[in-house]
Amino acid sequence: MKLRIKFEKADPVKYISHLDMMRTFERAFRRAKLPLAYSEGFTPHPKLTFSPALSVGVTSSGEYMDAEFYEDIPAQEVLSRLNSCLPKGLKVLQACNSDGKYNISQVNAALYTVTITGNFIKEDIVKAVQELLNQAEITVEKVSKKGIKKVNIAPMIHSIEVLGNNADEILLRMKIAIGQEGCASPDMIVKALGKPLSKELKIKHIHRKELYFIKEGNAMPPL
Amino acid sequence: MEINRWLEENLLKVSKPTRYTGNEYNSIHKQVEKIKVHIALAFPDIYEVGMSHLGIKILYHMLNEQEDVYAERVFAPWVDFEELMRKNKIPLFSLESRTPLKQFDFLGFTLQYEMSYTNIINMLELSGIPIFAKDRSDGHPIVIAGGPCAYNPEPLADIIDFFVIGEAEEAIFDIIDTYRNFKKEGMDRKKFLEQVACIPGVYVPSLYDVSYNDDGTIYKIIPKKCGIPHRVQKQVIRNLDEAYYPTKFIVPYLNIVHDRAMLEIFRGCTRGCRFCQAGMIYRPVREKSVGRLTKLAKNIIEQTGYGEISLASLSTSDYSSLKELTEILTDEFRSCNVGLSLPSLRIDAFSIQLARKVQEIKKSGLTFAPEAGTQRLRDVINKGVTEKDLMSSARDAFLCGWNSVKLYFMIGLPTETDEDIEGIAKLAMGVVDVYRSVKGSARGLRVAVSTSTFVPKPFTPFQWESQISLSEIERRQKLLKTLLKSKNISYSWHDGRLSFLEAVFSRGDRKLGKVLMLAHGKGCKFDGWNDIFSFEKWLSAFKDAGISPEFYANRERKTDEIFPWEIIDAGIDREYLLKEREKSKKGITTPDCRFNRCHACGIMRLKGGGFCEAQNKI
Repeated sequence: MKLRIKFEKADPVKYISHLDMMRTFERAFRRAKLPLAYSEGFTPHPKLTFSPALSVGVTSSGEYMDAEFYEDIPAQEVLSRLNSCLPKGLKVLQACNSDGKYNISQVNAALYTVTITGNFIKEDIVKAVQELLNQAEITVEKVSKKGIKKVNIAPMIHSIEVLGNNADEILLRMKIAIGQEGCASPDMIVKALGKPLSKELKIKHIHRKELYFIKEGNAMPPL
Repeated sequence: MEINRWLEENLLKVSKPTRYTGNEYNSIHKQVEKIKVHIALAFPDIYEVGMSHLGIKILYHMLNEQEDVYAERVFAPWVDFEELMRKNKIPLFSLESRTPLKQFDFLGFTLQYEMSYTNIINMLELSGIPIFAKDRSDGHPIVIAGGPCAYNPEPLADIIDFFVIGEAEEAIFDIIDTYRNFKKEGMDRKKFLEQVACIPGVYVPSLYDVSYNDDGTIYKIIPKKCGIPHRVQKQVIRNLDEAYYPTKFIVPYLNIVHDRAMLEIFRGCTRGCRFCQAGMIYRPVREKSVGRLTKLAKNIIEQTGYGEISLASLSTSDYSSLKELTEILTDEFRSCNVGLSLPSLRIDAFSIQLARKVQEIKKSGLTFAPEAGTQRLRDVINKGVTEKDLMSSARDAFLCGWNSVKLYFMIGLPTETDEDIEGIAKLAMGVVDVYRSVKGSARGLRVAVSTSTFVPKPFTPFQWESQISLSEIERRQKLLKTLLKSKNISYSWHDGRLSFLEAVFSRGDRKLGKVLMLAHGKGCKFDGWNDIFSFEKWLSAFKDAGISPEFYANRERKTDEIFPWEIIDAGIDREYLLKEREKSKKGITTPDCRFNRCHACGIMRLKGGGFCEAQNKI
C-alpha cells in the first residue's frame, strides 16, 4: 500500500539538509513502528520518495513524500503515530492513498512566499515586478560545481504578486518552476527585482506553501 | 535573545549549520532558572566527532536524570563558524539553551585525544573564561576534565581545575553534592577545590607541588597540604550489569562519524597487548548480561529509530556469550531492518562465522589488526595472532563473499627492524594470494593496508620506551610504500609528525602547558585535522618555550624514573608492567588471564578487592 503524505518543515528544522531529513523520517517511521516497506538486497532502503529538495534555511508547509507499506494501515493512524515520533518542527499534515496519482517526482512548480526588507516603498516593488514580468528574457548567473552559467529564468516564472506590507517589510507570493526541467529560485527573482531599483533587497524569510504538477496549463497539487 | 537572532542571521553562511542548532530528537530541554547545577559537557572537536563519543552520551543522560541538574552539550565550532563568532563577539554557547559557557557552574571536557588540547584552550578563550585555573575566580565556571587522556593529566595541569579519573559515573554525584553545599554555604572556590580533592578519583593539580631533577625528570610530586591524597585512585563501577545506561539517545540530524545506536557490552580487556593503554586502564573486565543487553537494545531502537546497532567494547569477540547475544539480536531486529555491527572482532574462524551471520542484514567491511608484520614482533607486543589465523580468516571471509579487507598495523614498535616492515608487505601479499586461490584471480579484490606509528603510553609495559625519530618514522613508511606493489593493495598512514606530538603529550609533564599556550597563540587548533594542522607552528612553540619535544618522545626512561602520571593510581602495578616489559624483550608472551592463571597486574587489589573475577581462580 502506498500513501502520499503532506508534511511541514518549520523553523526549528529549517537548516536540515534534504538528505538528513530523509534519514530523520526513516528513523521516525521505525520509532512509530509503522510497517514501512524496504528494498531487497544487501543494503535495503526504505521505500520512501520525497518531493524535490527544499533549500537549507527555507521553511515549508507543503512538502510531500510517498511511503510504501508492506501491509495496509489507515492513513489517520500513520499520521498520528508519526506525529508522536517526530522532532520539533517536522509535522505530517495529511495523507491519502496515492494510487492513480502522478509520481511525486514529477512535481514541477512551487508556490513561495518571500518576506523582503530594505529601504524602499511598496510602489517601487509593484513596478519592479510588473517590469520583470513583461521581460521576455531575464538572465541570471547560476553558480554550480562546473562554474558560472547564464540562464534565462523568464519562462520559469509563472506569477509574482505583491501582497501586503507592514512597516519596512513586503510579502511577495511567487509561483515558479522547480525540478529537473529547469528551475528558478526565490533568491534569483528577488535579486532580479532589485536590479532596476539599484537597491539590494534583503530576504528575511522564504516559505514554500505548495507544490504542483503543471501539465498543459493545469496546475495539480499532489493531494 | 541576542544569540538566537545572531544565529538566524549567520547560520546560512557556514557549512553544516545543524552543528550549532541543537533540538535533535531526544535532546533534553530544561528551564535554566529552575535548576541548581548547570553543567556544560564539552567535547574539544566538531559535533560529528563529539556526538560519536559514548562517554559523553552516558554522562548527558545520567546527569539529566537529576531534576536540579541540567547537562548541556557544546562542541568546538568549525573554523568558519568560529571566525563569525569572533568577528561579532559572540561567546561560545551551549547547544540546548544557548547559554554562554561563562554562565555555567561546570565546564567538563572529554579528553579523548592529545591533539585536541589546543581546542580546549580555544574553547575557553571563545567563552571568555580565563584559560589558566589560577586566573579564575568565584564567578567563573569550574573547569573539569576526564576521559582516557586524563590518566596523564599533567600537560593540562595549569588549565583544568580538577580531573575525574576513571569511570565518572560514581564520583560525579559526590562532586555535585559537594558543589550544592558549596553554593548554599557560599564557600570560596579554593575551599571547594580542597573539599573535592578528597573525593576518590578527583585530582586537583593546583594542590600538588612538582619538583624536578637537574636532568628535567621529576624528583617529587607532593600534596601542598595535609589531607590531600598522595595518589588519586581511578574509579570503577563494581557491577556494570546494574549500572545506568541510557536508551533515549539523542538522534542527530547530521551524519555523524558513528551514526548508529551503541550498545556497550563490557568494559576492560585482559588480552594484555603491551602497547595498548585501553587494555590496561579500563581493567577489570566487567560484562553485562545477555538479558539486560537484549532489553537495552530493544529499548534503544524503539526510542531512537536507528537502523543500525553496534556492539561497543574493546574486543567484541571476548564477550563470553557473543554467539547467543548476536543470535537474539539478529532475530529481534530482522523484521524492522535494523543491522547489527560487530567492530573489533578478533581474527579467527568463530568471528568470521559470526560476522557472516550478522551480514545477512547489512554488509560492511572487514578489518583485521595483526598490528605487526612478523611473529617475532607480535610476540614482543603480546598480540596473540598468527599468520595462519590471518590467512584462514581471510580465506573464510572471501569464501563468504567479501572482497575487501582492511589490515591495520603499527610501525615503530620496540625492537622493530626492516624485516618486520617487510613482514607487513608479505602478509598483505599473502592475503592477495589467498583471494587468488579462492577466486582464481585477484580481480575485484581490495586490500587496504594502514599504519599508525607506535606512541608509548602511560600505564603500559612500554611506558619506558622511546618513540623512533620522526625521520625514521618517515623512512619506514616510505620503505613499506615501495614494498606494497600490488594494484589490489592500497596503503595509507597516519602523519608521523602527529604521532611525534602525541608521544610528547601522552607522557608529558606540566611544563608543557606553556607549549600548549604558545601553540594556541600561533593559531594551532584542530591539530588532528590534516588541512589545519601546522607542524611548523608547533615546532616554533617548543622553541619559544625552550622545551625540547625529543626529551618526551624519543628518550628511553630509566626504570626508576618517577613519571608525571604516577600521581594517578590506575590500579595496575608498576612491577607488573616492568615484568611484562622484560618478557617482551625476550619475546615471551603472556596469555589472557581470563582463560589462564592470574598474572598479578594489580587490579585485583583495587579498592580492597572484589572487582576482578580472576581472583576466584587462584
